[in-house]
Amino acid sequence: MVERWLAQYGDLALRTAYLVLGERSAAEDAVQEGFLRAWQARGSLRDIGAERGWLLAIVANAARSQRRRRVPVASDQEPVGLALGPSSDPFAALDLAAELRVALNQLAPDHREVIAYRIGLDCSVDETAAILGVEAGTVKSRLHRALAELRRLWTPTSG
Amino acid sequence: MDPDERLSRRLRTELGPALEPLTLSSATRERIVTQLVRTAGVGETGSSRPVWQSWGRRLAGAPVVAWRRPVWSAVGAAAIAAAVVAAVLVPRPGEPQRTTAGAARPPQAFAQIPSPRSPLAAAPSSGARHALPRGVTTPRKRLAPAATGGRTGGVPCLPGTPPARLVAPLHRSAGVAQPLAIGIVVSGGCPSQRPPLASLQEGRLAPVALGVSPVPAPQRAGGATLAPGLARYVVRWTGRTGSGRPLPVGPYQVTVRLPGPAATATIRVEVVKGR
Repeated sequence: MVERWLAQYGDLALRTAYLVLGERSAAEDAVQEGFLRAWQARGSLRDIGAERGWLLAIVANAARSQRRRRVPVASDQEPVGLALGPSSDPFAALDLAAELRVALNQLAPDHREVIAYRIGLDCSVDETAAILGVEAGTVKSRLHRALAELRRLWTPTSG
Repeated sequence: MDPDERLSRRLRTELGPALEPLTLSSATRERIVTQLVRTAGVGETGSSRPVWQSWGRRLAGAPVVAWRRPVWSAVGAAAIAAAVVAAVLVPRPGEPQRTTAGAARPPQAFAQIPSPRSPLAAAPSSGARHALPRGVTTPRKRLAPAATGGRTGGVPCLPGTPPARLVAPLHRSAGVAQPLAIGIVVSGGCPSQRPPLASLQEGRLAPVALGVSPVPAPQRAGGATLAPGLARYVVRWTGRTGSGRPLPVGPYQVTVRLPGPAATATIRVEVVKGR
C-alpha cells in the first residue's frame, strides 16, 4: 500500500510539505513521517475516494509539526530538531517570475497557502480544505479574497 | 470568463511548472519504504490490503477489523506492566523484606529484571514459559540511568522487546563548518545494552565520531510526550573533520549505531553553502 501511495501521491506529498517548510530535505522527512502516520491511521479512512486529500492532510500536518519543532528552544534546553529555521519564503527556490514571487510573499500566509494548494497543486476544494483544516466554504471565500488581493499586487505579463 | 478563473489559469501556468521539479527520487522512495518497514512493520503483516476493504467493514460501515490491534496492544501492555510491577514488588530470597511502602529498600529509580531465582521466574505462567526461548536468561544487573535516555527511569529489557529502530530523520542540511544538532528518536531496543553511537563518513575521509547525548524528559522541547518505548537523543557535530578542517560541500552519511546487536541507521547530511 505504501508503495502505491508513494507512486500515486509521493510527488504531490513532497510539494505539499515543501510549501509548508520551504526546504526540500525537511519536506522529505515530513513525507516520511506523514506516510508513517497515515499507515498507522489507515483504518480511519472511510471514503477511499477521499484518499488523496486524507493523505495530503496528514502530510501537511506532519510538516506543520516539524515546523513547530524547529522553533529555536531556550539556550538551557537541548535542541530537538536541527537548529536551522525553515525558509520564510517557500517560493524562493522555485523558478517563478520575480514580480509574482514578490506579490505572493506580500499576501497573508493563509491567502498564500490557499493559492498554493488550490491552484499551484491543483487540489480540489475538498482536498484543500482537508489540507488546511478548514471548511470547503472557507476555502472558496478565502481563495476569492486571495485572488482579489493578488490581482491588486500583480499584473500578469503577456503569455 | 470570470476574473478569478482567468487569474487562476494564469497562475496555474506559472506555479504548476515551478513546482514540477519537486519530485521524490527513486532513492528517496526506497529509503522511505525501508524506513516504514523498519519503523511500522509495513509489509510484515503479510498483506498490503487496506483494512477498510474487509467485507465486514464494507457491509457494516464500521471498523470491525481495526479493533484487533488496539485490543492486543492493551493486553500486551497490561501483561508487561504486571510483570514489571511484580519484579519490583516481590523480594528475592536474601533480600530484606519491605516493611512499609518502599521504606526498607534504598531509593531505587529503576525497575529490576526478575532473576531466574525469583518467584516470578521460578513459577512462570504457561504463556511466559513459551515466551522465553531455551537458554535465554534475563540479566540481573540494574539498568544504567544514562543509558535510558532519561526518559522513563529504566525500561527493562524483556524478552520479545523489538529491535531498536531509528524514527526520522532521513536527511538534514547544514552550512559549511556550521555546528549541527540532529534530534533523533529511537524506538524499541534495550537502552541498557549500549547508548547510540554516531559517526560521519565520506569516501576517503576518516570517520568522524559524533557526540550523542540523551535528552532528559523534562527538557524535551515543546513538552511533547514520547510514546512508551521511545527514547530521544541528540547527535551533535561541530561541522568540521576530526582535524578541525571544514568539510567541503556535498552529501555525507551519518551512521548511527543503535542500542542492540548490529542495528545501524543512516542519516544523509547535505553540507551546503550560504547558511
